[in-house]
Amino acid sequence: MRIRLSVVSAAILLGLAPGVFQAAEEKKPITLTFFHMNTVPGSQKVITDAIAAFEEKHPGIRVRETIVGWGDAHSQFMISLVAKRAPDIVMLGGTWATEFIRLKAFVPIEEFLPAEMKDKFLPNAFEALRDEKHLYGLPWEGATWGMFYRTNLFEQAGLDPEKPPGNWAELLAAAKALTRDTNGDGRIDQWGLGFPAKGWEPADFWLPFMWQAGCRVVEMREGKWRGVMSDEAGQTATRFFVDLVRTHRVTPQSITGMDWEAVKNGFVAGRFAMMFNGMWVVKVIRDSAPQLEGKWATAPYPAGPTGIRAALGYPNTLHITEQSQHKKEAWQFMELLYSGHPSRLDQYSIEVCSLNWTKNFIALPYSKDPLRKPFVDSMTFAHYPPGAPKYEVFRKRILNPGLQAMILGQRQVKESLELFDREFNALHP
Amino acid sequence: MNQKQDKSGGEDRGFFLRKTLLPYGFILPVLLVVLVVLVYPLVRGMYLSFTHYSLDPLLSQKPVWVGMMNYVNLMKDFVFRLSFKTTVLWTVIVVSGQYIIGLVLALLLNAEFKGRGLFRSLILIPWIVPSIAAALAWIWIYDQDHGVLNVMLRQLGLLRGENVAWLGSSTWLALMAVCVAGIWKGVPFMTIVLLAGLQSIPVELYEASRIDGARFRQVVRYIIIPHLKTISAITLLLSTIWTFNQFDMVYIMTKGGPAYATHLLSIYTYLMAFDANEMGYAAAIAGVLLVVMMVIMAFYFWVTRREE
Amino acid sequence: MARRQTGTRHIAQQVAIYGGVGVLTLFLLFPFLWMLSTSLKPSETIFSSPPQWIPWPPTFAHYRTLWVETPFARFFINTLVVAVGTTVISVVISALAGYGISRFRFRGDRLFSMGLIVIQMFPPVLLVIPIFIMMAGLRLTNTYASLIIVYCAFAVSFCTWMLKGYFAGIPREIEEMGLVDGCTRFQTLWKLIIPLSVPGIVAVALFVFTFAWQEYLFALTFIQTTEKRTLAVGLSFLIGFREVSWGPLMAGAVLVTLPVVIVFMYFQKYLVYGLTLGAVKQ
Repeated sequence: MRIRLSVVSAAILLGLAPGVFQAAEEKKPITLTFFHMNTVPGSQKVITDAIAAFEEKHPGIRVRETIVGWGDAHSQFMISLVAKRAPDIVMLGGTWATEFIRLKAFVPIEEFLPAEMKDKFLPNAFEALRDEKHLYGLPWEGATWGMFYRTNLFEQAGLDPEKPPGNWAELLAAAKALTRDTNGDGRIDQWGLGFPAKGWEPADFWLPFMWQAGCRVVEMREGKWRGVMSDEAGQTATRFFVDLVRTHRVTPQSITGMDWEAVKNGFVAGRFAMMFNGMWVVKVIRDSAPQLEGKWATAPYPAGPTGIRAALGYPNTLHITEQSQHKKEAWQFMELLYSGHPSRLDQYSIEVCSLNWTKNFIALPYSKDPLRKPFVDSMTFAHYPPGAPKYEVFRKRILNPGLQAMILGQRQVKESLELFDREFNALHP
Repeated sequence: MNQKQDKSGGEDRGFFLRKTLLPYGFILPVLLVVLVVLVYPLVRGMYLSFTHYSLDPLLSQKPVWVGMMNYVNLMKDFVFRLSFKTTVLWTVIVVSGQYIIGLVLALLLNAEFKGRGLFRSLILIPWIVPSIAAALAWIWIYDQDHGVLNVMLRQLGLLRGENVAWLGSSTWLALMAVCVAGIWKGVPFMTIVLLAGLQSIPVELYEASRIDGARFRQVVRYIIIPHLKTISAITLLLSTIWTFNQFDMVYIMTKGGPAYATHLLSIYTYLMAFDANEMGYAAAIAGVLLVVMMVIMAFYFWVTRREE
Repeated sequence: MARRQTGTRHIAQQVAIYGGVGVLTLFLLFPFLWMLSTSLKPSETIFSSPPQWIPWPPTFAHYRTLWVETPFARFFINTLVVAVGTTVISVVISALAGYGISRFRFRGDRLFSMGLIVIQMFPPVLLVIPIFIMMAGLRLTNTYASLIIVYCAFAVSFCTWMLKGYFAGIPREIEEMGLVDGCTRFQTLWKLIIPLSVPGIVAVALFVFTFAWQEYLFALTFIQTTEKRTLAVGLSFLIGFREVSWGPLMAGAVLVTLPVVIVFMYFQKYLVYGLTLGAVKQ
């Protein structure tokens, strides 16, 4: 009875006074969900602070985080989408956007995005974010990948620590000189080169070799995605990649069990004299191994046999979902993530020790640091992983295990590449 | 028991009335839940395996009947073949490992010694440690740089040179490493059930055998084995089913790698369903799991029938 | 068995038994103990080599980190709600069904009992697809209810099967007395059978609770937000992309394990008794 009365009176009030109606509307709390991946405590704090600032500014809106692991993020977002429980704002790994754009998961961002904000970004940052008609999100923080090397081990091996390998031949020569049995027990305990090849990572360290050799990996042909991994350049690159382990033995086969962190540990311990790894590792080594100060340096990826420079590097992306009930508010929150001095995006990137694709970021003193600069420089020739819609599945199901099988010597290069092309094409009919 | 009921007097007949709706009332909730949440989805899942079906955000697409196409494609899919092989290998190693260790432990715990009760409780731990915690603990033990396994082996002088990446440096090693974790998790169940079987053997039998001067080997052969037959069969069946369907521990530990070394059919199904969004194809992979289960179960019933 | 044997042989046998049990128990306990030990070490000593076996002095810093800096408390509550909900519902309906098939003969009773075993072999990865679609259609994803319903479905077959064996062991005369005194069947079940079956029911409840507490696959697919996330999945998401912090992870593993271990140790007698009785009877 009491409930009914109050409903009636509320209805009268609402009918009589549009002002009251509006007030009531504002008080009804809106909840935004923000789906993102776990990160280091420092950058998580940037997000937490951003949410607090946003909620303070917009008292009627609450922001709830959904934090997932990187390994499960793709399937988790897919699931939330088809369960119609999509978050309002979502952070995605660099190349996933393409696939979800095709599923019409996001709202075009142009209606919200002021021109001057768009101008802040480097033009190549939008590569994975558009289709023929629209732009579907904004670039977030990201990384480039490059080379780390131990200057003291270079000196021991009679190499010039000022001159990191600039091309494949020099890379191989240096790696051979650095691969040693230091304690004379007949086993190699210092490897020339290491890179992660566990789980989801092998493809990320194989792609740069492919590009440096001039292989496009996949391409659009007559409106269809086609794999070109088994072309001449692709075979050269993959053979070089595999031979590092199998023929030249400058890289141990156990890399198939090492993630970026294990390789980093090996580098710090002197088991790897050189390694390929992501930019954020600069900070991890500085923080966790201060004793290494002055004994290591970084460099961009060496160039390929014909001088082509290429590296893996891309921003992750932020989107507003089509399913969001509060797109305007979602944009307000997204805008906040890019605002502030330095911008929250910059703060986040600096905390992770990575990059973002805004013009001013390159000019920051942060980017001039000698250990970070090579990674910033790499941005000019950094590529996204292939943006084919089924690349993610291809990578998980075929590419990574296939690369591991080659590294472990279980499969031949040519057959594997042909298999890659076949399976990739089958996924993109 | 049923015979006894039939022979009892008139009042009993009323008590165990055959034709009444009452018993259906008792089983109704269970029946309903099982039919709606398990049987219907199973049928639906099998139906999906004959369709092409992807979910979309509007759930507007309908499954398209493609007949046996998914299954035909499966036969051509090398990832499926590898996953199948891996799953069989994994099941055989884990189930036999669990059974052997479980049996030894049950025999030991059936002997009399001080502290037996305590040990009987302690050995239950792996069974109740949640899979996620178990997986994390094993990843940590197997860790290449700081994992305690490498450290221990080195201290014992069994490991020289480079630390071993147990979960990734070779396919054989990785499979063995997850198998050890799988065996570890299932030993307690085997042990308690086999122990119960051992304890159901009448003490008089042992007494009699001792009077006859039987040796331990004979006791095993003529008393223990025949008595454990039935219970072994059912626990082996259950353990095979559980192991064949295993998903979480292996998924968390390796996500199927390296190079398909631990790529179980369940992991492949999950990948195709929720990463690739190929629901029909994923259902077909799982359909194969079901068929294998059915064959194993039919074999079990056939064997137990024959024994009777 | 060993009592009447000669002294030395007896001792040798005891040594062999202790040796065997000791080694196997160590194997079974080690991961748990190592997890506990790691979680109590300060970050600096986690990686020390040779390892510090016993963390002394212990620190609870990782537990604090977990509780304060991650939504662990939320996960804990969610899991508790789902696990308790599942346990209560499954035990009640399985008790009814177990009573039904242990006390009555009816058309289809054997089929029903058989079906309960056959259900055990349904591959969860096959079921997760259609059940997910069903839940999404009913807008039930991301709710406690979706998990409770599914967990109940998986649990009841095993529970009913076990309770059936248990109830069958209770003499009918007790029930007949009740009926003569004018009780209804539900009353006899509630007032006479259930109190006599406490060990069996506790065992079954524990089984369900542990199962629901640690289930991963369905929790991974049905739940989409941190607010409704359960422990198993939440913890697996803490495995970082950019840093693996073993201290908090192991603390998390211990916290997931501890409630079940405590409950189990407390009810252990019932459990082994109930389980084995159920299993041996079949």
